[in-house]
Amino acid sequence: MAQRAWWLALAAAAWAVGCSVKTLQRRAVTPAQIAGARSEGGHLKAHLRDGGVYVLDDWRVDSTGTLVTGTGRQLDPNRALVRTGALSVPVSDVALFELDRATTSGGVAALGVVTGVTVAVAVVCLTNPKACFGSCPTFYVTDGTRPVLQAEGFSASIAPALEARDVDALFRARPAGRDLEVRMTNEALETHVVRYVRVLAAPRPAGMRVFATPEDRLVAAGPMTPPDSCSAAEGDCTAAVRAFDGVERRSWADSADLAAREDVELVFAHAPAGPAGLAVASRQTLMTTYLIYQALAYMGRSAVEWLAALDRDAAPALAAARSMGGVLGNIEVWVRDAHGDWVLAGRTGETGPIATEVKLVPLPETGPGPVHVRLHMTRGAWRLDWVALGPLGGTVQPDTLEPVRVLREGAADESALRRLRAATGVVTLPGDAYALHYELPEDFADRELFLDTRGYYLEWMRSEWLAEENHARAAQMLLDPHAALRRMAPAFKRQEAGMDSVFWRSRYARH
Amino acid sequence: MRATRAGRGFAALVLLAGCATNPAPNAYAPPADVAAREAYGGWIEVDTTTGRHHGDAGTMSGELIAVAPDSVFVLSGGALVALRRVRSLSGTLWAYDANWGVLALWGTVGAIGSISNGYYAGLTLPLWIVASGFAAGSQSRAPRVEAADSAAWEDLRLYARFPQGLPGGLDRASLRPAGDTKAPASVAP
Repeated sequence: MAQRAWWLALAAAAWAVGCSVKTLQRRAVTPAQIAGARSEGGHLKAHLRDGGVYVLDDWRVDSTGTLVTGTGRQLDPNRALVRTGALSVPVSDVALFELDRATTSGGVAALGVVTGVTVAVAVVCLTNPKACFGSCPTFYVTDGTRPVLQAEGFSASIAPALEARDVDALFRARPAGRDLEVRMTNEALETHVVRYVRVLAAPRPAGMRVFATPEDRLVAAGPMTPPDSCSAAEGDCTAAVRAFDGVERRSWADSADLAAREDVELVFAHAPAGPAGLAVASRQTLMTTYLIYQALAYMGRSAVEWLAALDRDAAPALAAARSMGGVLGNIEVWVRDAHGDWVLAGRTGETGPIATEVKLVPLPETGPGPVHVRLHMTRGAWRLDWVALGPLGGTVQPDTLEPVRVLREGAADESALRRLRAATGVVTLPGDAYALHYELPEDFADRELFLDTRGYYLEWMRSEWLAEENHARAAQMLLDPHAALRRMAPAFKRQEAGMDSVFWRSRYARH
Repeated sequence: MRATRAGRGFAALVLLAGCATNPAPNAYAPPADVAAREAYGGWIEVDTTTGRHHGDAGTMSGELIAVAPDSVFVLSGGALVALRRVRSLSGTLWAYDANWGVLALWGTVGAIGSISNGYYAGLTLPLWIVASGFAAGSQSRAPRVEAADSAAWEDLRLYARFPQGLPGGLDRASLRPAGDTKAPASVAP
């Protein structure tokens, strides 16, 4: 708060000082024109034929246009003072009038705008630093018309010890030929260590789609049918989840406990014959991002030691690090079985607020009649774009494709290509962008594409966060996440509504 | 280190933007709002290589007293000098003090402050450098009026002490420069 006030005061001071920077506008007016020039205002100089001059501030011309009166000074040709005060001068004595006006420099306005931009950015980031700059490795693939953000890699891998593999569906990828470009970017204040980026090209059976299960097994399913009804605490949500169209169903976090749960009830009028699977397209809200950044803020200057403990102390530290995620959980998929009992079919949903991930959860036998599905999840933590039910096909074996070319800033990067193919990894910094090219099989139009990545990333500590360093609270987040989520709820709620706009405005790109 | 680089970058851009230095002595370089209420002529530097009636070739400077159809009158060194308005006579006049250093300082402080924007500084720092460089450069040139040839001297007429022309009955020897309380000097030959 103090920094925000300091910034605003500095901006006000800059503006006040800047307004002293002026330019002079000067123009000549003949005696015949002087009556019409009154409305322009400014200082009037009446230059007499003998070299003397009247300098008048508050001046006017009489109704006959023959006499100018005002307050000011009369000066002789050497500019020595002759008279001062209320003065009048016959227009007939004047050789030339001069109108002078000092106006604020245009440069002040320009710097005022830049100051406004700088202060706004500073204040936004001071007000809500945990919504700024967040991301993880992001991947763009064409949807047939333009590159679309389709995946984010290993979002939960925020330390070397948490390095993990991640399989993401490129569900909307529509390559035009065998050459597939995957654009990999680092749009955050992070260091990304990307071991490999592979494309899995899975044969797509006719009339079906291929999905990854939460265990990253690839299975065929389809045709997929949207739910006939969707209901949640806010009411009907059917329209939001019927199509993979970017229209999402989301809720808001509980104001007293960030771990509070909610249910979304789905009904499918007709059960598919045989085994079925539920496709869920989802992504997280910024709650997890906020909590990760808050944990780093509490760790403060010791964050590196805390993260190093994940490697040093291995199992206990990893368990603690994962405890918060365990409390928040994934999206639990429950289904009513043939006996009317609710059965947990599986869990879906990946860490990350950027790309919508599509997974398929195989369902147990439900018997004939409508299929009732319940999605049980943390309130305010998830966005649902699409849910659909379809008959389950068999497991699909994909072709694994390594990149054949890597471009960085338009030039071939042989080193990155070699390291990605060897899975030794490339390290990217904010603003870095790579174009990874893959050679798809000849029947590329009949392939379902997935991105198979492995790596980890390191968040950069922000100076704004250091003010919140509090090791006791960091420990509470790891050791007693339930209590921590209750304690942090009010602070999160104050920022929740505006977090998205701040987050998406704060992507980092090098132009 | 980043601040140092920013400062160097800013300084370099100010130089590139061509901030103009006002050569006028203090008495002839009031701020714009003061100049609007004063009645002296602006400070002028004239290339006298071909224009001076008598004397040495070179550059002379002083207060612009009047611009006549065939002559330019400058109060230089306490004496009124008449310069012939030949085609090649050129001069540069400074009407007031632009106070552009305030903008340069503002830009420097802003450029350093933009580092607090984190990676947004990638946008705001260049914005500061460009905006303040051009704002300061433009402001520094605002009070400058140039007469590159004989015809252009008409543009300077309004910045003379006597924009109406040299008064007919004026005792030329009695003219004194701004801030000078000494006895009048003699007219130059």
